[in-house]
Amino acid sequence: MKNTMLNRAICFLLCLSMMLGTLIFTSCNTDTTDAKDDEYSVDYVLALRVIDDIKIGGRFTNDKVEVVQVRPDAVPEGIYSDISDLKDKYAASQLCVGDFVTAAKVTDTKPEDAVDENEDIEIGVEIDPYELGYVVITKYKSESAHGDFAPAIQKAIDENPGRTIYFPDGIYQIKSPIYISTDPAKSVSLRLSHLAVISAAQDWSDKTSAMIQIGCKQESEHAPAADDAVASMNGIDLSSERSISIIGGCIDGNSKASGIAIGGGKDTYIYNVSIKSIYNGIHVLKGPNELGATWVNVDNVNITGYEAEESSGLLIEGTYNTFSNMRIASVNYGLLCTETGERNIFRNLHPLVVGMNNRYTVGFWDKSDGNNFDICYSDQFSAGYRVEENTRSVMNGGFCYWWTERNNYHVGYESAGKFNSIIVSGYVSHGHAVEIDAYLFLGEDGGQGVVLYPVINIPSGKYQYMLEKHCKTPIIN
Amino acid sequence: MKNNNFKNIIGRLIAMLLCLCMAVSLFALTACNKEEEPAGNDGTQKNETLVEVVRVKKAVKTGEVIPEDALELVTLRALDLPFNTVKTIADVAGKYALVDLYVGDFVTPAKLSAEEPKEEVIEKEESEIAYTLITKYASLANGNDYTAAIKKAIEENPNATIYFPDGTYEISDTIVIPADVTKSVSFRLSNYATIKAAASWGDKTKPMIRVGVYADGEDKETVGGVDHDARNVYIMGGVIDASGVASGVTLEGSEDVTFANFTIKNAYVGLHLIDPENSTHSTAADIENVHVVGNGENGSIGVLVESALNTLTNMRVSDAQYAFKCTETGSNNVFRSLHAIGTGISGKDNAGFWDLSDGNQYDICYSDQYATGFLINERTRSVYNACVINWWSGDNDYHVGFRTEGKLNSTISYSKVTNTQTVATEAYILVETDGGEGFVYYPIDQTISGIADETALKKYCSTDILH
Repeated sequence: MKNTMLNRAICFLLCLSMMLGTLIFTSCNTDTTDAKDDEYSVDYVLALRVIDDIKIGGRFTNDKVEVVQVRPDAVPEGIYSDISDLKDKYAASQLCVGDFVTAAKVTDTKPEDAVDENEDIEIGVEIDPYELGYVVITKYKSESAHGDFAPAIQKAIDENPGRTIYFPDGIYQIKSPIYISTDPAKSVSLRLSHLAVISAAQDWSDKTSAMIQIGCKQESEHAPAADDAVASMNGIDLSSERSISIIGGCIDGNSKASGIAIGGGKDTYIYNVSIKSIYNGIHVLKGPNELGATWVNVDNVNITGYEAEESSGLLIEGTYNTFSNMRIASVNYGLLCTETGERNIFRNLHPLVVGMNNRYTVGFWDKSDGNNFDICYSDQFSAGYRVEENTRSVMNGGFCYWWTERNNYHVGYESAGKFNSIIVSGYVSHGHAVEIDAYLFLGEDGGQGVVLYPVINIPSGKYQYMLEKHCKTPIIN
Repeated sequence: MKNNNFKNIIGRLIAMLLCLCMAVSLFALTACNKEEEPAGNDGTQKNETLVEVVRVKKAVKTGEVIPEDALELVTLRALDLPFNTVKTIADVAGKYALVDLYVGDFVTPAKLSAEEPKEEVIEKEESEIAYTLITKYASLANGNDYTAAIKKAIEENPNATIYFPDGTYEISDTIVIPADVTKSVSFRLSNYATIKAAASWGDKTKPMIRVGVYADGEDKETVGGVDHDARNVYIMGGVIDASGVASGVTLEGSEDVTFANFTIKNAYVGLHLIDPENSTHSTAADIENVHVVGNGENGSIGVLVESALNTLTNMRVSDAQYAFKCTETGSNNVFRSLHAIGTGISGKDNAGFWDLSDGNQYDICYSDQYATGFLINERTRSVYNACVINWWSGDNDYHVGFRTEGKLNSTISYSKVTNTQTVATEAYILVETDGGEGFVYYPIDQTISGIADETALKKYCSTDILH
């Protein structure tokens, strides 16, 4: 309550000061006009003046110089007054802020000691891909045709097992999925420069088909490819396993495709990648072993969908994966773990949905036996977390938040049936009275689940009784 | 906490906006005042602010001393001058010009230097990359044996990053990275660069790479744990393959060493954090996304922690008798998202995590298939939060989640013990000696037959037990 009062007071002050600002500004403007009228009666000259340092050999562009009116006695000889006169000319020396542009400082030919504008970028460059022994994808450019880089990439992969393939900055459009085998004799890794984009073509056939498929070919009903079925106890020969990594750059689905699918391997590592405009961001299939283990590590990967119905940022059907430090946006489900997607670790994930009104959305939907969630935030999803009756997940330090009234449905933690999970220190907050708003909302009364030290900021207490039944500690309001 | 933080941020945001608005109003006011001056006069002869400033009379080249006779004083309208224009000749004469000065130029401090400007030399080597490439030393390689090449690269490039492109680099002797900050180096391995122990290695306890090694008689207090001059030594990427005949990597000193994104495989001891025997026993290292595959032998250890104050995150360790073992001095460490996988190990005498120290923090750590998930000493006051112990088969007839040597003095919270087949011994927790101050908080017990008798668990658990 105290806070609300304080906020209102601050808001009031805010408005007041804005109005004051506007008022003064308007009255001020009229004065300026008057002043200008007067100036015409004085004998001023126009002069070009530098407003941002120009290096030797630099150009005179609109962001570097301005035209000013000055008294004639202030300007040196050979003063320029029109920027269009300088269109094809270069700075003969270094020019500083406040300098007048005169003929002595301008040259028609590029000076020998000109400072290259791109030099800053090139000095200390971390990567010369050839020197570092990468297979540079542009070498295979001739294999690309009709705006399709997929054959070139696939050829690079097939011809270079056990190598890292490097993508320099640029856009690589593909019309069909790229396949990386998890067979240690065939696997490769991809390293994308910061501005390298692998982009799906507009005529991509199936939105659920991932652009990059690791250890699985989704055309064959999402089954692992035959050569990935390594015949060891767990389907994984650990001593010769060769882990696959995708690091850097961007995977752009163009609102037509899914991002990355992983069906096998061990310690596959996806790091620092931005996956955008996809239907499903990362799809981890059930691993080809009795555990269903895929052992993937995903860190610092951001995913953005295109608000497609039933789309998921992370679609997890495998076990023993670790996901950390991810933002996920504009998908129907931030994370969806199917019945087989258990024993995964989710840390510092932050899904948010911006559009998708009038549709049921979920931040973290766990249909499995159980997973570990640690400090995972849900923004604007109808339900922050949703579990099933059989789910025994541990959800620690969660945060569910709504900043609009959207969907008339604001539930922090939801169970389809009875509740059997553990929620510790979860925070549920919104400021709007909507039809259903609850910290905990159960499809069916009962279950062993517990809620410890919940933090609540919800206008209505309609469903508080559901929380109270499962809460074993004080409730923090 | 979070609640407060969040409100704080909102509060600050509002305060910031408020300040901004006020600043805008103030600015508007001042701007307004300034404009009023000329407007208030008769129009032909304005009451303009005039100032005396320095102007260049004779051109001066970059790097030259500016003589007094190249300067003049002029009186001009302040509006026509650059901000910061120098007003007295004494502030300019005798100084060096940092840029070419032309006749009619005004002088600002940015164009002056009291000292002679040095020619900026940008050394461009043949290769523009900042790394030292190991392939440069290939001529020292004996066949595929890179031992001499790597040693030479370290010796010749103190404080450099040595880069290993995709490929295999065999070594027949231990590589040493010194703790001495004037001699240390980092290793950067491409994803498929493998440093591999030769089959003739000999002693399986001998490590392939020793990091942070002290010279004889070197002061471990100043060079080691508490020396803040320490370089950020790191090893990143690739594979360290011990070929089943060697041990992997040791860390023996220095501070803020990072090991990230690589795999140590087929090692007797994978990663060994050695007590530097300084006053804190600390190596203070960050280890992230490093995976270890043991050699499956009895006595093999994935990660052996004998030092303090390290952070280990996102690791998988398999094929070792003990995936993680902390000795008495291996305390005050943070273990997050570690995963012990007991493949290729049988019998009762093995564990995912064995803690003999005073205590460590375990957060969401998984043990699979090990006879004992977490083996805890009586002296240990560790915190085990949201851990999972699982058996997917009945190959081993001993399934114990937490087991103590002596009394229980640790805290176990929200941890799950689960198996898929009934075996001879099944328990959430087995305490060797009754007593201790430890407790169990909201356990999830899913052992098939273990749940029939939870007497031991209930002794330490005063909350609900979930099933």
